[in-house]
Amino acid sequence: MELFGSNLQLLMGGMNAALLRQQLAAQNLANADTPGYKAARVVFETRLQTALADNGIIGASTNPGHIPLGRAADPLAVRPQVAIDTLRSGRPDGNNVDLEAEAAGMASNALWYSAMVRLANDEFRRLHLVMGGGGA
Amino acid sequence: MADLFGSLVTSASALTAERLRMTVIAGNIANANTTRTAAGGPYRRSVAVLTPSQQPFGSALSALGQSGGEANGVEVAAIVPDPSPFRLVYDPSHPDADAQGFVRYPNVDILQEMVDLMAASRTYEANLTAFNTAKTIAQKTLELGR
Repeated sequence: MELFGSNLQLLMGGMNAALLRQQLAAQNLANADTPGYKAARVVFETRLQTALADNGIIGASTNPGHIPLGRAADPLAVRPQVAIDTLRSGRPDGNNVDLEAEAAGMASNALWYSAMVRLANDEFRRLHLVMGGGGA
Repeated sequence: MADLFGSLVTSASALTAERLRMTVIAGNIANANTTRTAAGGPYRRSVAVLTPSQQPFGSALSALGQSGGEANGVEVAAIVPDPSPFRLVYDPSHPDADAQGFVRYPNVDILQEMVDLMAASRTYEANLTAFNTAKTIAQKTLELGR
């Protein structure tokens, strides 16, 4: 049993993804008027969901060369990926940054981050409680 | 590992670039009727060319081993003159009129400049919002473990 369990590690992964998403939103907004620029996005939640999904039968892998069955990947090993949005835009300069979508995504991302900080703090508080023998 | 301060640097680069763009537009509007310049001839409209830039630090993308997304901010690559023809206005009494009585006025279209100014101003605001959001996230991070 680890002290800092998988809950905390999953939260850290999510927070890293949120930081990267903020970075890319800033980058997309910075290039909102750059001709030919294509927006960059973070792909994380769908990958994590795929990794967390229990597909019924989970094949045991006794060899590192085995193709994982059932569970796609270790959820803790899921890293955020950067994807370039290649969708064509209606703008004549070839730029496809959507100001409103970026601003809205940025606001919800910040809230998501705050929520994860809170959950992580709750986790730390529980550990603290356990270390104090429940009395602290 | 994403960089906490990378987005601040990115947004700051955009604020700088948009402000410079607004300065160029202001110069165009100020010289909309300048018929005589030091270089000779009327004033020629300038255009700020924006290009994605690579910041020396805060390169979260390269840290992730991603390619194709190296752009990390924005900068004004160049301020280039607009080659479009000058406006011809018939005014024989003007000291800069040619033999036929036509005065060459700058190729500045006030309407176009105002639209560009609005766009630059709005983009500036959007980047300011991005900057403040990044600041909020950084402050939240400091609350971790409290």
